[in-house]
Amino acid sequence: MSGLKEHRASLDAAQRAVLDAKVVGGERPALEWLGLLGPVLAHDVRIGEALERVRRRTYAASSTFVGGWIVAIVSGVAGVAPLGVAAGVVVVLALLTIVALRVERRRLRTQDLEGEPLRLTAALLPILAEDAAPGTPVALDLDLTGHRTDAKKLGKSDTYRKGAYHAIVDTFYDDPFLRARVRFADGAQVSIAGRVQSRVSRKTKRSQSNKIKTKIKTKTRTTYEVDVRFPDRNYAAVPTTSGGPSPSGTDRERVRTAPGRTAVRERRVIKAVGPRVALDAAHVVDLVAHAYDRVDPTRRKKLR
Amino acid sequence: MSTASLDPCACKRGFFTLRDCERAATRTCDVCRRRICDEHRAPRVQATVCVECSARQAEDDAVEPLVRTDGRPGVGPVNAGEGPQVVAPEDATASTARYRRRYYDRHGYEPMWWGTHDSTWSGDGFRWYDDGTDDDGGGFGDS
Repeated sequence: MSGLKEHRASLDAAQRAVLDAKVVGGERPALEWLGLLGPVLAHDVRIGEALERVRRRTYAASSTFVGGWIVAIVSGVAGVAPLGVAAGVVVVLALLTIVALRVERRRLRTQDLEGEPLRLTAALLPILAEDAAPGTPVALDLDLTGHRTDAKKLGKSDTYRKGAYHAIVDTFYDDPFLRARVRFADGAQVSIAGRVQSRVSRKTKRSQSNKIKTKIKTKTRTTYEVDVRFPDRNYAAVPTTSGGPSPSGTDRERVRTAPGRTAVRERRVIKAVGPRVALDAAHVVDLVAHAYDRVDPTRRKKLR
Repeated sequence: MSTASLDPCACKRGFFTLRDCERAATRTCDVCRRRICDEHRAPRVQATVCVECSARQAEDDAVEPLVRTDGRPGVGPVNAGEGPQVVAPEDATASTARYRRRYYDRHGYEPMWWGTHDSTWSGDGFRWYDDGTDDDGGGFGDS
């Protein structure tokens, strides 16, 4: 764990502020954002590894605790006092270790960031840096507090029954984790948004042996949305386009023309079952590419 | 920040659109013989290779088959791990050039071409406004 403290100490004040606040906001050039967020991501990976180590040690200590109890009881029954005393000491030491590890786990979890939005953003920044107009910052709002915190709870459903389950309660969460805006060198205004919506179902049923059994099922819906406004001086909408599904068949898009610009909005929804949310910057890249497929250049220019 | 130079870097900037780098060239790529700037030099120890040649070589050497989740050619959902990766800021240009090459080849994306002619890119698909006249030399900011 000391390596974690040293690594945190090696971060600058702005990076430590991100770790503490778990939110990122402001305007900076894309590569400056990457310089800020890259070490934060590396630190978060270390915290994840530390949590995994704590989990493994807790499992080992729990096994030792149970084993020690069994040996203590057996040696007590068999009348082997020295072995019983030794087993008792092991049980106490294991218990103390478990308590210490739980304290450490709690401490680490308070520092743990929601890493996937950070990873997605950090992977996207070099691409935005390539296309951003020279000297233009990326406006970024990033929420790393987690997809299913109390603050993001929308509400609970009434209890209902379905199939074998006599009591189901759904809890809904909405996490708009990413919003980014940047002006490209060709004048296009690009907005990127990411949102994770979750439904956590707590289902209770009575088993054949008449026991009450409860399970929790999580479904997530991740929405990536890209809005690109192309200036008329450089682009015009492809004439055949009238909106509707994009070539992949899984996305939604809308093309609108107005005086001075063509606005293309692309949206992709990824549904998944399970508590883990995997984000991929490739979806955002695809959507921006789709938006560029909806326009053609209107003049031949060379960028200075 | 791009600066005009009499000996400009020949590499292209951009991902969704391509434009001239225009930084001052400082060396020559051993593969394509174009003049390149420090930023567009691939991190190699024994040779001077531009990031575009390095990306082409990396993609030519890649043997993994493309398996798409939707079974379609062109743009669409991608496999996990196929997307852009997190890199340090100093590696961003080389890394993005490689991902750009891979993305163009595998997704069939044709970027907007806003730069000067470059025969190195002649085998690639891209889009530009062609009215039969030469470049007017103006910038994006002109109207």
